[in-house]
Amino acid sequence: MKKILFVAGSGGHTAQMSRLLRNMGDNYDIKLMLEHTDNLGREKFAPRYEMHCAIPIRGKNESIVMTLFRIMLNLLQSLRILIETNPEYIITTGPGLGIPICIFGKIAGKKIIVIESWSRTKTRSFVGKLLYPFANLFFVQWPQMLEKYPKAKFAGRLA
Amino acid sequence: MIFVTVGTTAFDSLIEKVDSIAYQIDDKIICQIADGKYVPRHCEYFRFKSTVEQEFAGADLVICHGGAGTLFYLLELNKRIVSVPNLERKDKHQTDLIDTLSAENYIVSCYELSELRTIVVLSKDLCLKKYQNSECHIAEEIIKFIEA
Repeated sequence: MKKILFVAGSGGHTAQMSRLLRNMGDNYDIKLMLEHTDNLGREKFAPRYEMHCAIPIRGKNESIVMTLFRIMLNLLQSLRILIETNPEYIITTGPGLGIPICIFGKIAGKKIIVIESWSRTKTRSFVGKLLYPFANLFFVQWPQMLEKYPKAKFAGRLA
Repeated sequence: MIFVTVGTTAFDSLIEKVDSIAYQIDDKIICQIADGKYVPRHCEYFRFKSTVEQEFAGADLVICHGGAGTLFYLLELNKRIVSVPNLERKDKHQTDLIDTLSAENYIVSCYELSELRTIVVLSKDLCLKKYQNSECHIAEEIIKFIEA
């Protein structure tokens, strides 16, 4: 079975991942990476998937020291998750906490698949902008976004 | 019943506004406030529930933030929606989707909280379009890519 790591984060990112997972079938060894505070997401997926948690890289109104601490911790968590799960593919619906693991994954030769958020109808997200140049497959969920990401694919919306 | 929901991120200015206009609105109002600091005094409220399906089902109108998860879910339920972008968030991306969906006449947008009461009252008589779930082939495309 091919191993895939799904990076979902929390809130709307998890909702999109949940809809995608329904259509992925049972032929893959799927593991999830979520934000450590996403209790609703964890409850929902616990019976079915192995889950790994990480800390988000941005907090609310935090000092630069705290942000640096978050990033350092996330880097360590991402490395550990990457080694433990050792996926061939990393699929992300675009939470910030997934940036480091996608970069580490790319360096380690994994294939990176990025789905730009369904909330992006006109402007690019920070994560989208950053991961677009090296994603192996990149989806947008609104056709007009193909102007912003010429190499992306539009294959409908997860809603 | 009017159900007000903020999703996972607190949206105090919306809840405070709703609370302040509650007495001018005839319908019963229930608020989901997440970990907001402001606690409503004139309407029922709760913070989180594992499922809000019951509240959604019973609502004639839902006032919500601009989170896509909430918006798409409600559109599929064919609910009447007034959406207010949560600009208290660190990422101010919610206007993108609200702009697009309200331009298509699927939802009613409210960019100024001072206009919320008027918009809520007027929204009852507006004729909104039914959202059609687009066909999604993202999973198929991914499987094709993996198996190629």
